[in-house]
Amino acid sequence: MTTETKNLPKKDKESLKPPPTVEPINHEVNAYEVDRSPESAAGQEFSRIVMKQEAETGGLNLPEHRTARRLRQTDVLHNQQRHGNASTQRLISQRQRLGTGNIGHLQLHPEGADMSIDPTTVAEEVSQPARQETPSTPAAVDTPATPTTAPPAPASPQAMSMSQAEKVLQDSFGTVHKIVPGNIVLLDGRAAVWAKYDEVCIRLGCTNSKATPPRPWQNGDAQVVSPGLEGFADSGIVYVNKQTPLITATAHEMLHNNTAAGFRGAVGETINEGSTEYLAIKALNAAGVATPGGATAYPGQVAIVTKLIKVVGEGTLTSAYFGGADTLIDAYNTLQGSKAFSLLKPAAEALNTAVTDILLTPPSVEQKIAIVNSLLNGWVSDTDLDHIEMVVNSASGDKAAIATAIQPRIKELWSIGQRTRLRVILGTV
Amino acid sequence: MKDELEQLAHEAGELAQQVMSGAGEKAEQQQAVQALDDRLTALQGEVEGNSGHLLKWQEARRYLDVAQMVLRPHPETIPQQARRLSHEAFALAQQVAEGQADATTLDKARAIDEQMPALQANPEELTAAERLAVETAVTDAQLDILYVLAEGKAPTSIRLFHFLQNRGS
Repeated sequence: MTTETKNLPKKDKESLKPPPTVEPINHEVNAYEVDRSPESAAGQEFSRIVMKQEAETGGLNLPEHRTARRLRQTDVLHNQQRHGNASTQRLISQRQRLGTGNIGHLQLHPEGADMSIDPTTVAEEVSQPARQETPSTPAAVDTPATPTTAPPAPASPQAMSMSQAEKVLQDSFGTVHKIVPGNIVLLDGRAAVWAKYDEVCIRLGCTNSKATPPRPWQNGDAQVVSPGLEGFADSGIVYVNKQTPLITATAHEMLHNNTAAGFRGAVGETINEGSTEYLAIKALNAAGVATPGGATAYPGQVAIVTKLIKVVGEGTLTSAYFGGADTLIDAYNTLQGSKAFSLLKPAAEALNTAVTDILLTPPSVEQKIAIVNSLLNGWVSDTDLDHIEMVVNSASGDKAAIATAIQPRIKELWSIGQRTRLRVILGTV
Repeated sequence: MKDELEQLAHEAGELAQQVMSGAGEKAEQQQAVQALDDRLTALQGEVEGNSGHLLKWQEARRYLDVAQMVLRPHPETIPQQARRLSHEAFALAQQVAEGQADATTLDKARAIDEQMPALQANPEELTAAERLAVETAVTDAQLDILYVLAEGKAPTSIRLFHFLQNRGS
């Protein structure tokens, strides 16, 4: 996508050139008018947001008169360069949310279309800001913004660019894990993926064993033997179809490069792929990118992982994904029984949902209290406290009830350190 | 009571694991499930008042439910079949990548390959999500089969790439 600039004077066009690594957010942002009433609560909130943003950015160059101000594209791009797409997205969304009455208005025009200055069209584009709520897929091309040319509307959804994917993942999971992009190459359509596969096979001297009789690999073979080819890997590089209908593709593949060593083997393909796609969807949604059904991968696996999260809690899954599978398996077995994960893994691998549904029924709060009580019976080790923490953190809604039930038992602990830790776990400090 | 429940949960878990693995005689396993079920049912009234006992009883019940569900005859759906075959193809590709392929590996890969077309023969019978699942499984399997048939001298599927990456290869 490209931010519309052709109506701006040359000086502004020059100032719009972003550094190569900056990509515009996924909206055609026209200059827009903001009328506000400082006396109103919404107007004050709006002012607070703008002032906070201005303080963070060093200023958005907004005029200060009371009844109107114009945020130009230079300001949008400036904010993007300084604070990234997510920050800019939030600012625009905030203004759009306030865009009722005379508080604030955002003019959005169709992606790829020329920006209109016709008052009627402008009024329509201002009055229908819902498009902002369900943004279309971000541009996939990992190239600098080209502010002087609006690209044609994409014919189909595309994978995110590498830098966009890295940013949305870092924004969502950066506090848990520093995202490493890895070597991913986005190829322009399935034909390009077939061609690259052919190229690699010919270079490697592959034999096409599916030909009769088998013969050396030649151009065109990939399309015949793998008509649905969306990606493959060679020499440490992952090749992915940029034109994939799966909006999460780039983020998904990038997440794989960040999974804890051994996670895949320990939890199996289903939970690994389901977790990867679940986290990719979560990151994209957090960045304001919609992930409609049919535009995401591994729906069956994601459904299983979503149920698993209802048992162990999302925090446990996320920390296991980036830090090691042991915590996930340990938490799950604490909640469902010591042999439960050894049954869940093969059932999930077979996508046997009749069995996974049995194993993924979350324990009730009464059962959780019983588990914690059993862990507190007899001599209590630090590992027992680890397990209690897993139970308590498995669902935030149950925490208060567990704390109320368990609090009287804190004094039974001999160690003052353990008593303090249990209070912290229960949130009663 | 506590020890008895611990023992029941242990036996039920072991049985469920065995049933899940596909090993053993189904008739014997069904008898074992029934025997454990009877023992559990007999204890049900006694565990109601004790939350710790109830918890262990419920654990045993869960394992038995799994065993019963797996033993229940049910036809394999197309997505399940696609998933199973894809998983088998992936396992063969892992063997080749780790230099553990044997004389039967290529034949097994060809046998899986021959079953692929039937999976996508009647897409109208599948939901959109099922079609996507089948297509993904088949495409992954095709790449792994190509890799096996080329005895490792071919590009890998992305999943095999990550498998090897995690192994430090």
